[in-house]
Amino acid sequence: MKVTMFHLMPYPRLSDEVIAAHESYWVTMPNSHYDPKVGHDTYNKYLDELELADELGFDGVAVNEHHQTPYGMMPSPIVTASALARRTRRCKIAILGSAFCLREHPLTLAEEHAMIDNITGGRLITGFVRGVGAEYSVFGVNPVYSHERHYEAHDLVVQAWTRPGPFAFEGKHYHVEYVNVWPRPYQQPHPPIWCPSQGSNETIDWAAHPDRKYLYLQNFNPFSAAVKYLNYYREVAHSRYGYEATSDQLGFGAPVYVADTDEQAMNEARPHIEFLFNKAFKMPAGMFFPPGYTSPASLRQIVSAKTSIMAAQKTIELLAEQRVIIVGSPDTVIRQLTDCHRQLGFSNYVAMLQFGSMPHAQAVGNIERFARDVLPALQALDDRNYRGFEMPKAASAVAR
Amino acid sequence: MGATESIVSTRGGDVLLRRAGAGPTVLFLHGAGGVVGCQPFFDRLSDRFDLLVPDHPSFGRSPTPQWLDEMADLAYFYLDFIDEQRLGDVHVIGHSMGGWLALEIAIRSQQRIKSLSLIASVGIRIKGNPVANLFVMTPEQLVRALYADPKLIEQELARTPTPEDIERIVTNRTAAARLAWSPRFFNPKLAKWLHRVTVPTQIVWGAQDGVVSAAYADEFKRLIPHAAVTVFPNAGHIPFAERLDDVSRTIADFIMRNE
Repeated sequence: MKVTMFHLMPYPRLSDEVIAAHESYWVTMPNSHYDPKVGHDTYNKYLDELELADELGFDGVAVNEHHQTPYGMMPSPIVTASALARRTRRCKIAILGSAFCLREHPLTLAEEHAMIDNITGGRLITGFVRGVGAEYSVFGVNPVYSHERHYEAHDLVVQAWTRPGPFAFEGKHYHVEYVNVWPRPYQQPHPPIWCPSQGSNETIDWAAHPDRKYLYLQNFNPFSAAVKYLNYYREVAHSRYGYEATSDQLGFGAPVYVADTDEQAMNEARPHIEFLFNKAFKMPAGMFFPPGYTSPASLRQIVSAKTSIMAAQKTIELLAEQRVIIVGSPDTVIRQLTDCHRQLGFSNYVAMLQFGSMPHAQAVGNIERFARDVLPALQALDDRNYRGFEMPKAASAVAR
Repeated sequence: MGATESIVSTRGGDVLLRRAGAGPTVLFLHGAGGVVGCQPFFDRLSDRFDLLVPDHPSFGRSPTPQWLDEMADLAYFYLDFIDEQRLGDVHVIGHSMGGWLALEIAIRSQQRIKSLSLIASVGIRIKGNPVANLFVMTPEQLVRALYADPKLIEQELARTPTPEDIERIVTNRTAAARLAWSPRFFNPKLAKWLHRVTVPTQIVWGAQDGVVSAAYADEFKRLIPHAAVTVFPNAGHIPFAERLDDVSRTIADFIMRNE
């Protein structure tokens, strides 16, 4: 199994008073609360953490994209990936993901991803995401066209990487008279494409298609969601597309915290993970689930709810029990992740080792303990540990 | 109103159409929320007019056609609709987003339009005075923005939406987002063409409108100088819900004067 260290690069914790005084942690949290000196310090510490992961033997490091929020300080993952391109030597650099469809001109991202792939000699992994719902309030991109633009931006970018140029791309949302990118990607035919998701049959139907066979990464949900969706991928490949998906097409992501004992790990991780889940997602439900971006079922829930559906508080005990996070002694963490892998056989684990309000020194300790005590055991896992896929379990979902 | 309801087939696809009454033909263009709560107003109108109330394509019970991308598409659709249904010349009433639609129709062709009545219309933007963010507001915030009367607000807040209500809201909210997500409930290119509106026009507003402020009544008057303006106190974004008698009379008398 390959292990990637993922970073959200959150702005250091805003006070409870500031958070309580504003309706949202996203889009409208006033940027007067952003201190550039803190930002400078924080960016560099976070980049140090990712560079450390390269030195300590992680297979990859990963950055992502969020806009106008202290939740994550990477409106352009291109900038952080570029900074890592020359400071790491060995590991893959994964952009998980790039929201191509939020851009008026996704071709600029195709160019930038290709540059990083060239500079690193083919160490880039490209993630295709639609952005979270709130981001449709940032750029004014119409969420009703989110899926259309996502698929069309993908076609534009992959064609730009693979078709000899110049050619005209004649889409509904994107029309480009001359597609002819210099540089072409270093990796042929193009960098690996991953599809990070909170859980979506539609994304899997698309990613698993024989023309694509992209890696589907189930991120930051209860493990039961990973069971549902990673198995759905194997099922769709088998029943609809007539091939057996390999474990290389599947990934699992979860924050992880390692300490000497389970109790110590829980205590040390608690304030930071609870901040992430209970404070950093604060926003109006209508902002998180704009019309068209989300399924009608989610929208139904919002318009009928008397109180906010975002309000439920989560404890670390609950998050650990549901395996939204993996937390404990090295033995516990190895045992849990080995069990997860035994059930689902994913080839990639994406580990978030700094999360929420966790300070740099603590994050470095977590990264070092994980790399020393857990990483080798995970990297040794392969399909021999996987118990295999039992088709009948959810066949009805595909038969529809 | 003793309405007939039918699915009518048009060049642009199927549309749910309500029709009632006799007299001059009036086409009512509903807002982003559809026709919920409009029935008493429709009853008043159908007492004096041949009233047509379609669900816009993609709203309510009308299906979403492939061709629908933006408000201009709906404007052309209704010009076709008026011809195809052989309505002759019509008076158009547009509420909120339906007012915007009425204006998009009128700047393209007024050949079949006798008069325009715009109620709490969107479609233009006064800098610094946005339309309320209907897509992000909670159900409670929305009710408080829609109405002026505190008793009516409490009454609406106490109501539990039925599954049908919820389906309608989901459908209409998605349909409205398709047309009005960005720019939010306006067309930046509309204002420069409003001088083309030459038919008799009236502008009706609720003084306490919390969705589209009554300042927009003045701005529309500036852009369509021949328009008559009536602002009703003690009314919000749906003035015909809170001032049924007065609004119905004002609208109907104006239409009769221009028949």
